[in-house]
Amino acid sequence: MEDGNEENKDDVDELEDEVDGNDDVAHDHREGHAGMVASATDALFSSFVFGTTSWLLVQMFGCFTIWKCLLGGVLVSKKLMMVDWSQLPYDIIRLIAIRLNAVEDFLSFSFVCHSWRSFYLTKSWTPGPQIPWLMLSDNENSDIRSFFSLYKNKVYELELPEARGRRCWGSPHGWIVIIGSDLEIRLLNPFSRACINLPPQSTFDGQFDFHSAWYQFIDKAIIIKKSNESHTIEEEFLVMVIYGPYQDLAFSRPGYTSWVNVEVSSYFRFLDVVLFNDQIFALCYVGDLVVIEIDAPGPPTVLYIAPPPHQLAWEKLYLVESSGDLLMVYRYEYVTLSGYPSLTQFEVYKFDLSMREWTKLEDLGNMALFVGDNYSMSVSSSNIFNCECNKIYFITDTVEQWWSYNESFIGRDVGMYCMVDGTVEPFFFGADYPSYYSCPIWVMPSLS
Amino acid sequence: MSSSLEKNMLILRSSDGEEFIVPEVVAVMSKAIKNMVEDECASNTIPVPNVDANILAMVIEFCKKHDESEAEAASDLKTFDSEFVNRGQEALYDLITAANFRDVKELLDALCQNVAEMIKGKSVHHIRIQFLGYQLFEILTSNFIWNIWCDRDFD
Repeated sequence: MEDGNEENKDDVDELEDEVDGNDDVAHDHREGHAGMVASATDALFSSFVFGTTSWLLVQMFGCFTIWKCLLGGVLVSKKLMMVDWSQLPYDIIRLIAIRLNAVEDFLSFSFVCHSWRSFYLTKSWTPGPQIPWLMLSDNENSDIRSFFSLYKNKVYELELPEARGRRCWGSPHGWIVIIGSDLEIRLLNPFSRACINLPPQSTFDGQFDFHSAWYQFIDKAIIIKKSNESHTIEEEFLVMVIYGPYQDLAFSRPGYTSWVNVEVSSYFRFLDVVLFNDQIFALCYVGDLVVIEIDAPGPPTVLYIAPPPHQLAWEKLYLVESSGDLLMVYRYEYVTLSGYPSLTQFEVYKFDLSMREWTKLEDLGNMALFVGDNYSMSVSSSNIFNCECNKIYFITDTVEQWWSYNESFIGRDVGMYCMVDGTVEPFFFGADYPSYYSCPIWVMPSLS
Repeated sequence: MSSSLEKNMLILRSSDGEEFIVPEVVAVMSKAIKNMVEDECASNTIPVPNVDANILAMVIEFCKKHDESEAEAASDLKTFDSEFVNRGQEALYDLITAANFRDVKELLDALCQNVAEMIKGKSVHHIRIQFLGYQLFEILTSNFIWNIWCDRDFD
């Protein structure tokens, strides 16, 4: 009898503990700490909103649970575990957490219970190399943004009102650039929801073409982060945007009052920008490689480096830094006889700095590239977190193309291109309905 | 009894009173015991509170193996470690707390690595079932939404 009472008391303590956690943390109730009845209503709520579980099934479970609850079913199920892992000391929680490599695993671990979250709350977890998440299109009617994790093959829905109704560009640093119809431009970390203002669109030197819409003004935004210098977070970031009807280039930093234009002749229409060897390389129409110097005194300068490897028509060009090499990625779209879907093909060229010429790469080795409406990224480890090496992960990133689809994306136009045999394997992340201003982007998860 | 003991042997007494005679080199793999021996505040019999005979025997087995196999190939030791830590929930938990309490670094590392491997690739829901036994709770709340970034004081 006494034993039973003790168990009972422990359970009550723990419930109280977890309810305390709920007080601190908004939305935590969805994870169902608060108790049987609350979790039943939560499940009903979430099935209403997200329709992931059959309503009927949940209701049946709900009845079942309330019934079990009345019979003390909770205590029965708790008694099966003779040890209480939620009572692990902080040191051990830390030792386990630092052995988890993926952000997804660390977050799952941290949200198991209140005490396991203690290390997460110290914000001192430093992850190793990760693979990007796919941030899906915006739904104007909701503050929820979906993220697809290749590793867990699962869609996570995060509350992110900051990005609602805004077009976004991804980066390998965990940050994205956002612009909205108010023409405000910001840096946002969708994982921590930290936000940094950038100068608004009105401070661009270039003339705004009033015939184009707000989401067409910026063609591509690239976040460059120099982490090796011990600057403040504001000084770390350099944001470069390709904008306007002539695809001009401008840059700014947090704290600047305006965007600084990179003055060039009209011949240069910029396509992509990347940081390589601490220099800013850019691709110009029709594939010419240039270096942009912005830190020297005087106005920014553009230095011509090399012509493109060939003049064939391409759909899109990307510039990628990959394990010490500068790569140019050609994307081609071939219309098939049936009209749609079109056939996506890629070609990769590596730049030889001393010879100043491009050589074709048949193989990416243990690298995987991620291209789309974001800073093009490469992941160097082979086959980590379900990421296959020697593949190009791509998204159709032309806004105009998204309009023409007018239907949901179910893995089409988003896929893996295999460098060995040239095949495209789609990956499926559920239905995604692109809006006229927003398409999926790659962004590297970062908790800091 | 202590006079009949060899010089470099120690007696460890578990929480339930069972005594183990172990070489000092093995016993001092626990930093806590090492400190006691160095401070000479221990007689030949060292009480190990909070650790019962069953768990203490396992810890000693682990330490003996690590002490003996210093010269052996590291891969053999790794195999032994991974087999050693492959235990049921209860033994694993008791071993972890014992290793933490007595400060046995090698054992703690191997155990935490094992727990981390058990967690990798699983959802919050599955981890809870595995470690906390919240089956009934969680069947209902294993919903799609995973509001992980609910701590909004993050900057």
